[in-house]
Amino acid sequence: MTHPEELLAAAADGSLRDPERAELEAHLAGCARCREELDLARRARAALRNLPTPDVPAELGSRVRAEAHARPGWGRWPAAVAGIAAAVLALAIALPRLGGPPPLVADRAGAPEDVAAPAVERIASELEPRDLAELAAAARTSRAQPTAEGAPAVGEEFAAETTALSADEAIACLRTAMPGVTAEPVRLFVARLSGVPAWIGVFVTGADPARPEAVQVVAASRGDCTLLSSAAARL
Amino acid sequence: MGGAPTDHALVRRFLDGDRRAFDELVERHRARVFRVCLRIVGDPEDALDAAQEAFVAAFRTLDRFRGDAAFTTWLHRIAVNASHDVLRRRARAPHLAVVGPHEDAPAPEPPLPDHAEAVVGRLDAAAALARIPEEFRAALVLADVEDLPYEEIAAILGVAVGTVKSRVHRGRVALARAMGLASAEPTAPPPASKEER
Repeated sequence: MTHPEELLAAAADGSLRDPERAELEAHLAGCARCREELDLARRARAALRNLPTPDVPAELGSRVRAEAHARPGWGRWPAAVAGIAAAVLALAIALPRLGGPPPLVADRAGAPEDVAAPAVERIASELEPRDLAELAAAARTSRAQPTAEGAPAVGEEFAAETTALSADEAIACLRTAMPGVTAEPVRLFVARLSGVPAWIGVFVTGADPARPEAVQVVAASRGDCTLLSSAAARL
Repeated sequence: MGGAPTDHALVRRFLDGDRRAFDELVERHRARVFRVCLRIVGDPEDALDAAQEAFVAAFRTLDRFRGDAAFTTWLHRIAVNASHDVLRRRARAPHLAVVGPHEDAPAPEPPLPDHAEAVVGRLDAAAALARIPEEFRAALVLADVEDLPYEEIAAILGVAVGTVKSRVHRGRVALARAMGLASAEPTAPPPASKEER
């Protein structure tokens, strides 16, 4: 015998309508199991409705506001993107803790106000989200062209359609994808990520430019500027 | 018009550059989001993390909120996802029990004073929620704590209405059994989602 769970659900909270009510009653007349379940379901619902309203921690609002208003340097983002823990872990392994600030950051710290937007570089191999961690490591330590090892090369037409791209357009798109981004990117790439044409920005984050806290890589779709993927690591 | 602006109006103001409009949205929905997170993850500290992550995710993606859905539906979905993320992280994290007094030790489930008559051996509904399968838990919380209609729960969870009803019913029965409400209960307890103290 199949048991009418959907009808039992509606019966337990009083949303059962008339033709269904008759149907359920006919079933209940011959099914002790469903009679018991309906009784249990009603009592469970009553218990849940009687749960006390929890006190909301006062710091919830202030923590979120601090996050939302964190303007300079995107400083609080590394904690906020804990959801991408796997990528962070991968990158933490890829980036052994080094002594001083990386050169890219030192340049930026010297003249934080008038950093020229970096030129858009092209990545000639197909990327997957997991490659973003590698990308961050490469972007941080050198100007070398990062490649995803073993990844297929992108086609000729990709090279043709991605010449002379505007860094401003890339930055605007990345900021649309991740509205919290306020720092200037240190590297900008055009690439294909999981087959989707993408902008990829590498950002150095930290409230104080002289003391960078993390590298953050953001990938946005070039089509509609939605967020495709993101990776971060503390320095 | 008059009165408070709608959620949609606040979203528009935020997207037009008024950051305070987001504060207003947080203020308006923080109790709801925290409550959903708390009942799904069970622990107030974890619930605070989940709720905060939910709002940060909302902040980050508000420009992609489609105005054709209710804002609360969208926000509920984010809160449920953030709660599941927290549960997954907690399941992955090694279970390092805090032995002895520790200033940061999370408070154990606070005993509810208004349950003085509770029979020993029974769990209250909040503790019992942690014992039922996660798959049922979100649907049950949205139905019986938040009192949302099945159609809205279906939209939040991205499943069919019939699936929601089935999960809610099975969740209720599992909860009642975990609470010890079944009279002639089968001996096997429902699978616990994590080790209980």
